Amino acid sequence: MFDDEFLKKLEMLYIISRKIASGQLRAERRTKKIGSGIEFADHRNYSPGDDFRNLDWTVYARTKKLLLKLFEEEEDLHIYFLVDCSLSMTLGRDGETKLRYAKVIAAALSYIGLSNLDRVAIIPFNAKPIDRLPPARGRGQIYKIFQFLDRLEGGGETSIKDAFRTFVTQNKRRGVAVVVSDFYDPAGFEDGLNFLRYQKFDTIAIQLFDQEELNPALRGELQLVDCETGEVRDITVTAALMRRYREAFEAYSKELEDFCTKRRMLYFRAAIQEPFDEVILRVFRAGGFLK
Amino acid sequence: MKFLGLTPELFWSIFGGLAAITALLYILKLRRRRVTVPFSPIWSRVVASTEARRWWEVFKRLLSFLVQCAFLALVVLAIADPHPEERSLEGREVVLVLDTSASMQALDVTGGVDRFDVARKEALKILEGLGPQDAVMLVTMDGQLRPLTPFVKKSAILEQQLKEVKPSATPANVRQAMSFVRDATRGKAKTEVYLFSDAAFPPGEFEAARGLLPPSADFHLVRVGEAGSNVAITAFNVRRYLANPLDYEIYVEVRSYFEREVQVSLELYADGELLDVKQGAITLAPRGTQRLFFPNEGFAGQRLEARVKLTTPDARDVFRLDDTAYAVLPRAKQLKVALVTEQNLYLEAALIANDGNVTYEVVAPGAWSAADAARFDAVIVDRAPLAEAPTQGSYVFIAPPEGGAGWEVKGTMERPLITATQKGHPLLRYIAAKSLDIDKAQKLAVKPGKDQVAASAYGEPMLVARQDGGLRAVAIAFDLRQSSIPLRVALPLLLLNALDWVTDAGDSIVPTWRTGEAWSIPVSREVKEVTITPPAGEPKQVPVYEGRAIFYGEQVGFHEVKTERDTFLAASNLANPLESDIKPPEAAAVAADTLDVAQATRSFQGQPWWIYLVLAAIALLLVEWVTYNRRWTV
Repeated sequence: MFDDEFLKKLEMLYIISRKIASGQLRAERRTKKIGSGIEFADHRNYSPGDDFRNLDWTVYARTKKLLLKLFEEEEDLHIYFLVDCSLSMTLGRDGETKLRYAKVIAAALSYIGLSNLDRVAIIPFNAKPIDRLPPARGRGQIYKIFQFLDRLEGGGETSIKDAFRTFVTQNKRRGVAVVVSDFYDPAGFEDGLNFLRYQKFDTIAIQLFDQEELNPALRGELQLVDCETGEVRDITVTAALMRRYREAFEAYSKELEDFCTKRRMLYFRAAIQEPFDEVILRVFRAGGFLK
Repeated sequence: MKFLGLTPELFWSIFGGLAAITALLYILKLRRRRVTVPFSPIWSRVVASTEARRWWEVFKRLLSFLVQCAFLALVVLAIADPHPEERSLEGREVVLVLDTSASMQALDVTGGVDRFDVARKEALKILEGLGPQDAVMLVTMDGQLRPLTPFVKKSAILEQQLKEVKPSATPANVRQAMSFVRDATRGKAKTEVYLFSDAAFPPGEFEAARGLLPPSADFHLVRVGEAGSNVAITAFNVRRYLANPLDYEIYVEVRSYFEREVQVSLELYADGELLDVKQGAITLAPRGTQRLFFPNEGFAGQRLEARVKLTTPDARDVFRLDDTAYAVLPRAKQLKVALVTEQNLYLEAALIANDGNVTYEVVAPGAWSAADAARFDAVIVDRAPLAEAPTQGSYVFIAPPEGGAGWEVKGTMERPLITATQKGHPLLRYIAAKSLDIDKAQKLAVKPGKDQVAASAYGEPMLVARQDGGLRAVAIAFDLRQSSIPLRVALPLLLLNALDWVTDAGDSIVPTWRTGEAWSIPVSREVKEVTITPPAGEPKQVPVYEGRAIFYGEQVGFHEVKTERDTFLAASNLANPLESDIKPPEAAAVAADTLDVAQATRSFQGQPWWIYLVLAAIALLLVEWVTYNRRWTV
């Protein structure tokens, strides 16, 4: 899956990313954490118990107000790739599945992250996190990530809420959470994404879909079986019904997009028939991934 | 309404059974194809909106069922063959008279091969439109009338017969046909007569025939044919020259029925080989006739054909049957003659002059016996007495002596002068007998009713032909040597005429027969039956009566006549100027009787109801198919 051709594309994407994020230096990416660094960040009012050493006496001399100096605390950026490995991700023709596409997207973005000396972690999930690749740093770790992604197999039902609740519990260090999924969760995607938002993760939602799902070649008397839940529904597929189905599919994606946009999460929608590098570039251009 | 195909009970049984099966099929649960989808809640949203219209879905399914039931009802109803009550009760006697005369082979029609083909199609339309209670009789009309069926109610039976009818080469006899129809429908309450014809009858014939029908008969003329453009050979004969049997003289009569001047060419064929073309030599005036003689035509063969062709570029001959005429060439046969004489060099010289036709053998009177006659075709008895009178055979007596048994003589006369001749008698062909100088002649006895006197001198027969049972004899009253005849060319001619007559070989013209007539073909009296094979068709056994085979000729061309002894040909032609005049009467002239079949079958009969029912069923099936495939009714 991750062959030389793929690596060449990754290198090219990295160069492009550097141009987009021009002026930034290596290891200069900062978190929003205010701590004990040496770089001034802001003032705040003094509260009893604060360290006197951080009082800004210059300001006090001018304004007779006690203000405390705040400093940025420099630390590495953590990027978490939450890859959906549920059964719905494994449907497709000729091996072209959403899961495969998700792996490719995750690998590509991981490479960019590692190249920027960020810490990259991979967390595959279905109803819960299945496995975990601990945060790794440095471009040399990319093969480890490839191996990990290669090993991933799909299966099980989706529960974004349960999976992300577990994720935020296990990962206290905040960072960027890139969710690569079809977001096919009967219980809904809202609770799961809210968990990430509440825990201050910068969330990027990448919704994958197959064109076959949007325009399935179905006609006549059918019995539809949900691949994850096994739910069965008898249906007569007509041209009118197919039209309504497409409208419903688009409405579902729109709901997800609206949800993310309103909550300042970046949202991307990609068909697996689309070249993955174009999707990566869309992510870059949106600027969310490159700080 | 009356059902002719099914009883009401059977109708309801079949329909009920089929409807029950259909209902069962609708009740049975449909086996659906299983399809795995990644996320069924999206489908659930869609289906939820559909289920809101559940009553409509149920109605559509019911509608589909009702459409199926309606389809079944229409099909079963079509099988039941419904008819209006009043129609099925009223039966008519319908006579279909189909003109199969020669002119019906004219090609001036659209929608068929020839006039007859179109007429047959029109007749089929009438036939198809008849009701089950109607009785139909099919009659063909040409030179003879042929009722093909009695009145039958199953008109379908007639269709096959109608398809097998072929036109003949004989003229139509419409009076005879209408007389027959009048007799056949006598006493019938409701009679309809349909005549399918070009109505190209001799002037006044149609009106006369129409008048034969009773006023109560509903007569309709279904008129076919449009044009009268035709040229025809209305007469064709060939005869052999007596003096030169290798040459012939041809007589052709060509007639035009065009209303303008046309040019034609004439081709002559012998045994299928082209002999001569009289190219562009013949111009025919409007509706004009040309009688043409072609003398000194030399050819070999037996079957002679004359074919006339239009050479005027923009003219079209639409009737081909009379464009070819047929004739049989007379067979040249060499007579074997016994010359019973002491000596007569003049006679021998005359026979030698006809060397090609005659061989002779001189027999002394003392050496002659009656039994010798069987070896010869004819016997010439020159001045010699016979021991016994012959009763059959062919004899020429020259100056028969008094007291002999050959021909009865009542005395002699001096220097007779021929004062009377029978004009056109075969014995005097090409001979001027009155100028003969005769020194002495016998007074010949004549048998009334059996003898024909060809020449006489003040009432005394000088030249007599006798037909007495099997005996054919000629008597010449005077001694040839005691007359001026040896110095004239008349001598060999007289001898040939006499030999031709006694041997019945004077047929330098073989008659050509006309179709539509009873032919009386001469054959040997000893023949009891002959077999005649027409140009197209099976051989027919024909009885012989008094040496004549009576045969009704219907085809043009060469007929093979086979007897126990011999086989020869008989040629026949249409040779009927009236039948060749194929122009139908003006539409206005027969408008009162003319029937438009298309209009009639629409207004009078209409299509059977079952056709409309089947069409409606098909339409319903189509609607069902479309709605099903577009998922409107599922």
